[in-house]
Amino acid sequence: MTRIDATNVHFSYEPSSEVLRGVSISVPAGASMSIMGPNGSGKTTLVKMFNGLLLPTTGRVTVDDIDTKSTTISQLSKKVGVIFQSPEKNFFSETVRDEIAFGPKNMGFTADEVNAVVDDVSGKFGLRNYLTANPFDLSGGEKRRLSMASVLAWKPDVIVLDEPTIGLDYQYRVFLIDLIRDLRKEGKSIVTVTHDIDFALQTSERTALLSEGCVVWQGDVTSLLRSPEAFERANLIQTFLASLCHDLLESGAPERSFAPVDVGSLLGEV
Amino acid sequence: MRFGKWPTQGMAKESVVSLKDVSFTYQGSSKPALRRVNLDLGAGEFVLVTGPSGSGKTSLARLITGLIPNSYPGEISGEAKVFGESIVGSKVHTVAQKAGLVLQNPENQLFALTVEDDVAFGPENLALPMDEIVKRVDWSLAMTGLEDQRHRPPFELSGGYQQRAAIAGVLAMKPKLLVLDEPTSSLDSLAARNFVKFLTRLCSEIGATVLVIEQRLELFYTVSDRLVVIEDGSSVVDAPPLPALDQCLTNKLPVNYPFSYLFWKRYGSTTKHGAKKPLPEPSEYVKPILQRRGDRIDPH
Amino acid sequence: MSFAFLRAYRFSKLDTPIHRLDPRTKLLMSVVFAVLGITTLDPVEIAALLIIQLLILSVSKSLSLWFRSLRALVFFLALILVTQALTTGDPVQSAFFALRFIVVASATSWFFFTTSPEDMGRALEQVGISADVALSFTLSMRFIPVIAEEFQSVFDAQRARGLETSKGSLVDRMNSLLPLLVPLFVGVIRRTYEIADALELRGYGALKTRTRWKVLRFRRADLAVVLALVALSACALLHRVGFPLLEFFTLRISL
Repeated sequence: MTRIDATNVHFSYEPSSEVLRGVSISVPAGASMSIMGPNGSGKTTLVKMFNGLLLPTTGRVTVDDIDTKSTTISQLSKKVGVIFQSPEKNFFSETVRDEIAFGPKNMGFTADEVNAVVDDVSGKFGLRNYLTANPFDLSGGEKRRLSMASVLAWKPDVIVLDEPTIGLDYQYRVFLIDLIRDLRKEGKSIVTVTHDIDFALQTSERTALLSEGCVVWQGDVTSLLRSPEAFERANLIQTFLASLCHDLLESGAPERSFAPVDVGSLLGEV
Repeated sequence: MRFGKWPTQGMAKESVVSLKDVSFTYQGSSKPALRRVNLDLGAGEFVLVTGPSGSGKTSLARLITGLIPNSYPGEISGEAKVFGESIVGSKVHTVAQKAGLVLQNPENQLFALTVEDDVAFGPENLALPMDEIVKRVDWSLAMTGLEDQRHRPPFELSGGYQQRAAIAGVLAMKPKLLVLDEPTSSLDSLAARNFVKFLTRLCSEIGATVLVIEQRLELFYTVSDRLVVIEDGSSVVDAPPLPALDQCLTNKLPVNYPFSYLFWKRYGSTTKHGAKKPLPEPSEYVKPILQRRGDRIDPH
Repeated sequence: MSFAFLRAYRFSKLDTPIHRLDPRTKLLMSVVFAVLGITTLDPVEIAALLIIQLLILSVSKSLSLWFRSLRALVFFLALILVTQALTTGDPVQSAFFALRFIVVASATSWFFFTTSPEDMGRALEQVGISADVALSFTLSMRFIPVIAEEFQSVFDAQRARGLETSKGSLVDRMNSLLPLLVPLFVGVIRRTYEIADALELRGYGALKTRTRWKVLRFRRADLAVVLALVALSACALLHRVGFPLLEFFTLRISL
């Protein structure tokens, strides 16, 4: 089980402007976490540290106590799978099978292992009938499933989703929430980077709020719901759902209903 | 907050968009993108359009603003009129001066190397006289609050400002109808909320009719006159927001139901939108909330 | 991957006499200097051209920018010096060719340092190039940083899937380009369709002529510069033809 620790990370793309200013954050093994913040707060920069795409200017990031500076991106990606925005824009293969196999092949899987994971993952994502199809011919929903499958194929311990909710419709939102729940059942860590508070509340138990390169709040989602002033500090809005949960918690509703927030049962039971 | 305050009686409002049984299939495609769509927009309305990805919303936007069928050839049937004139046979630039379209990605609509040059681009293409161009550029920049950004290159603007710059460019064509395709998709929650305020203020100031395609219903449903749901190329729901959402719920349509709507539907008063069944008794945790918030359909 | 090389010839907004010149004048200057530089074999001419260029750069406050941009030329300079050393072994000749290369390569430097991209586009349009071509030029300039960012995204995403670009045989490395280039090209092509739509929606190409809301104006300073260029070219021509007065300054290079 993989854990990620970032200690006092500073980072600048250009010498004059610091994007991360002393960020310390932990992703424990098996965590379900969200990193929330407005655009430009440094969230994407931070998660690029988790698989070594970026290295801190000062401070350190360790994955299972291995400093990211001492290893390669491919080595780190074996444990930490990052899915960026619009992953369907990164297709390049002639067949769906090749696209799914790309990651595992790079990670050093043998031919048999590759076939096994392609079979497994294509089944899970309903792509088994499309293995010989051209990725560019798939429908929107199928493309998104393929991009998920491509990263989950090599079964990383930690899965990072960078702004998965941009432009998504209802069906995809439901698909994502279910997927995250299933991955959690398998014991994987999930880190969701987003500015969509409702989505974060529905999919994570722990959260960190990032604003202008600093962590302004870190802890359990339930504690955050109780302290809504943190939203303002992070230049985020306290949504209706968040304020409702706050009121419910204040009136004594049991905490177990809120981590993560289940809208269905919230409307039903509570 | 509008919630469908569209006056139905009295004066006849000018018909801005009139689509009757319009179907359209892109050239080379086997499936129709639009299937017997019916839509009527009156002057001054603020209409919200939603639906699953690929259902035809963008095609609808292209139709209303003339890209279909003039730029996107294909088979079209039915009657499509904008401001009383048929879309078929009209040139795109003629329609663009009546119905402006702000596409989903603002970056791809900013061509010039400074904001003000970009806003001038449309009027330049219309071969307007120089002083008219200057007037329009100044006006558009003032309307969108971009006077301080006028000399900056589009690449350096933040997402919110890029969005406004794209709108400014379209406004310079002086359309009376504004169609926006998922304008908040690249904005974070705070910027999105500010955008809604900006848009509603802008449209009331210039007296435009607005059609917004969106997934984030919670941002727009309280400021819209109507909500239209497009599924499989047809409009399956077309009503003021609350009744429209009720219909969606009944038919289990895949739309992003605003949580505030779901909550008030469950616990709000029966009189608000004529719920026939007695509502469930709120639990002990919810009661004090209802007492405090009252019976308002105020989502916040 | 740093894209600093894209910044090598970047415009900086200052107010110097060179900045204020009509971009067409500056374009002409660059052409004249490049042509004179390429066609000469005389180190005195090259030195003169270089000195004048340095003067222009210093007046436009772009000397340090120019110096930094030389870094991009280091490879070619080294190549020239090495080739010269291997073929003739003559240090004077090597220096000459190296300097000539610098002069010609720098001929456009002040144009880019002192001309805003939008003025460049305007210059092209008003020099007589068709509006379509001028627009293509402006659009390319406008979207270069955007495409660069897109490439960075693709690069990041594919590396996050384990792509290695610096390992293995030459064939391996060529193969590693495919996951980078295909998404990039597809993305760019998709983008051009959207841009085409957006152009249509703003009426581009609808009418035969379009108004230009900002027109470049040729001023007295520009006229002075053009006359100076004519004088310079005349001197160079006379010098080469072997006009007696200037023969004193001639040093021929034997090839």
